[in-house]
Amino acid sequence: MNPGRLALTDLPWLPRLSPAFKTRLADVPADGNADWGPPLAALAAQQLGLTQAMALSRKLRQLRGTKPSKALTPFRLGLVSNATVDFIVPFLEATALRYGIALEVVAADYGQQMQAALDPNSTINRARPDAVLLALDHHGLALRDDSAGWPPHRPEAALAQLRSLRDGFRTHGGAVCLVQTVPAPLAPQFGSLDAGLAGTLRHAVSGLNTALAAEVGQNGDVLIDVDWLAQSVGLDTWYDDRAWHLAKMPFAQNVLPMYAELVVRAIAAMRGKARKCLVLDLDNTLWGGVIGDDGLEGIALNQGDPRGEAHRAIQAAALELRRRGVVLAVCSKNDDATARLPFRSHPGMLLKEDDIAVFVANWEDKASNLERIAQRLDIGIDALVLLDDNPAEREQVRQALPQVAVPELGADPSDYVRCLMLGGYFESVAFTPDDLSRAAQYQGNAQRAVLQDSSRDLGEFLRSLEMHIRFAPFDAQGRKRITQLINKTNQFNATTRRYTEAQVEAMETSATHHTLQINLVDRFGDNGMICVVICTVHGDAWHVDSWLMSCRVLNRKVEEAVCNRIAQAARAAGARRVVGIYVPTPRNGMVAELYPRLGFAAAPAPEGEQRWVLELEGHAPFDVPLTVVDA
Amino acid sequence: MNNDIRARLEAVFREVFDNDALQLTDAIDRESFEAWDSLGHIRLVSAVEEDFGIAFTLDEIETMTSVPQILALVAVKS
Repeated sequence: MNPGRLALTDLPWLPRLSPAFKTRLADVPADGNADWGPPLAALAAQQLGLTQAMALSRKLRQLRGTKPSKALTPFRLGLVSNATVDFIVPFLEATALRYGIALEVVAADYGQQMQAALDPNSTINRARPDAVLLALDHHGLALRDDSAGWPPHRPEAALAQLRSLRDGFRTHGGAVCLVQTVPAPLAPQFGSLDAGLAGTLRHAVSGLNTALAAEVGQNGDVLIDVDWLAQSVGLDTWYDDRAWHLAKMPFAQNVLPMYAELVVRAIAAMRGKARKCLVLDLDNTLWGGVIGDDGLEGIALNQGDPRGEAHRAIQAAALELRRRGVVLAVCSKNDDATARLPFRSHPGMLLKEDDIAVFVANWEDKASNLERIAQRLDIGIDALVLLDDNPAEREQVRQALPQVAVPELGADPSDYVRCLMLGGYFESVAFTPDDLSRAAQYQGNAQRAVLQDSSRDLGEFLRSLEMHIRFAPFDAQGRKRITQLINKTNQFNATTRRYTEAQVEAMETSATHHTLQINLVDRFGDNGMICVVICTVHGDAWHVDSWLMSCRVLNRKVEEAVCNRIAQAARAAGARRVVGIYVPTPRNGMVAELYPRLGFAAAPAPEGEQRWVLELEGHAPFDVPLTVVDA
Repeated sequence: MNNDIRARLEAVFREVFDNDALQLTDAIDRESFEAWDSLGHIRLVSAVEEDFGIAFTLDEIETMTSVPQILALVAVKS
């Protein structure tokens, strides 16, 4: 083996463990007065061993008891496993910190999977977890049945077992399940024959995984492809028989960091923490050499030249990301005209200027430029990933903007694609038609921002956007995207109430729910579904149970148009007032003034929320610069 | 040589049990040392194996219940 090769198990895209880890962890005050979230998250953003993971987990548990962190998203995870979880739990908690999540794990008693799921009073169900991880492998699943002779291994009973667990946690715990695929066995029964022979373990596991991949997403549960992980690190590395016999550890200890990454990435994606934009450096990242020094002829970007091919592979990976909805931006220390030259005139370039939503080339520091890019795209700093070959630039950005993900890169550009793609920055738990056009939508945002710079009058600007807003009740076509928005919108979300896909489906036909899915089109493109509203009927009042909106359409009078629509529908249904509910969270401060701004009056409210009332009698709709389209 | 092993083993104990002040004495064993529970044992065994570049069998792992026993085993294997 090449000793210098990157190993997936080391998480090579993270910076190496700092020798100061221990002192910095000790420096985080234990009294919980200051927000302990950011320093813990920063400590978690490096390569951690079991000792560090356990230390972080201890600190987290200590501090969680004092005061919740405003910077971290809380998430409660039930855990069901047929193996020892004592090492898995601290790694999950430490890894979640890396993704800005304060994870609390509730583990089922050893060997009590079915009871944990089916008993409404089990520890997990009573904890009302946000999700339950079904960490079962071939030791814990009913894959073998010798009663009928050959074939002994079949997937059906294991599938049924997993379905019962999933149903149980959904019904009694209200939780989404994270369902693991099962790694293939290492030891063959016959040999190559195993792959095609019904009855072998390999054949049964493969059938189980195929069936799981097809059915798990259908009711909003989420697949965790542990089989992929085991294959990727190699089954020879994955299985540690001694650790299994000694302590019932399900896989080798050195795979723990990557296993925890795989699970937490899905959780982070469920909570909308996946990154949205890849910011690319140019010199020695998109091409070999320095365009300002080497010129168009001198940079490495040609097929047949190994360096050129390595850099073209990076461009190809960026293009693939753009195709699935990730926005691309450029941030380079260069003169603008020089930086654009290869895009315009080098035949080896795969990326074109049109693929780049925001192109920033100047001599200012990268951190300020990254802030500018986020602002231009109307996304958070924490939605950015910076790919940059220069260690000094990476360090400057990590120091100045710890929210930006900056994958560590080695000296060889051949490794860049792996570090970027295996880093999991753009993990997604669902793919909807909206995602496909996402990059184009953000690109439209950037163009709108330019237009706004040049047109001074806001009203005039908004009219020039030629916006068409489309209202429709929840339906089967929108269901996935509606559920996705409900579960990952944190900022413009008045109540942050989360609903599963099954609950969303139930609302489609409920007589006491009035629902809206709202799409917005303007002259720069289709923004897709940008807003979801759920109203519930309480006598002559409509309660706005949920109102959430994509932040990229803020300041466009969409709120006013939605308010008009709610008032109009409520009146048509015979209601006399609309009650807006605001439940403050650390993340949704931007909607604190939503209802008063729309003319609602303060009303008495239960502890922990605010209520605002709009009397429909005599209410006049807002004048809005949008054309309403009905479904 | 034996002192060298002892110093390395002390460093391993400090890392595994997250205690920089730990002094590796012959009196330390699983009975008396609270942090050395069954999971601590697994972590200790892995850390010793990694540091010294050796591997223990299941039988050996079972006998590694005190500092002198570990020192003796490491001296034979490395």
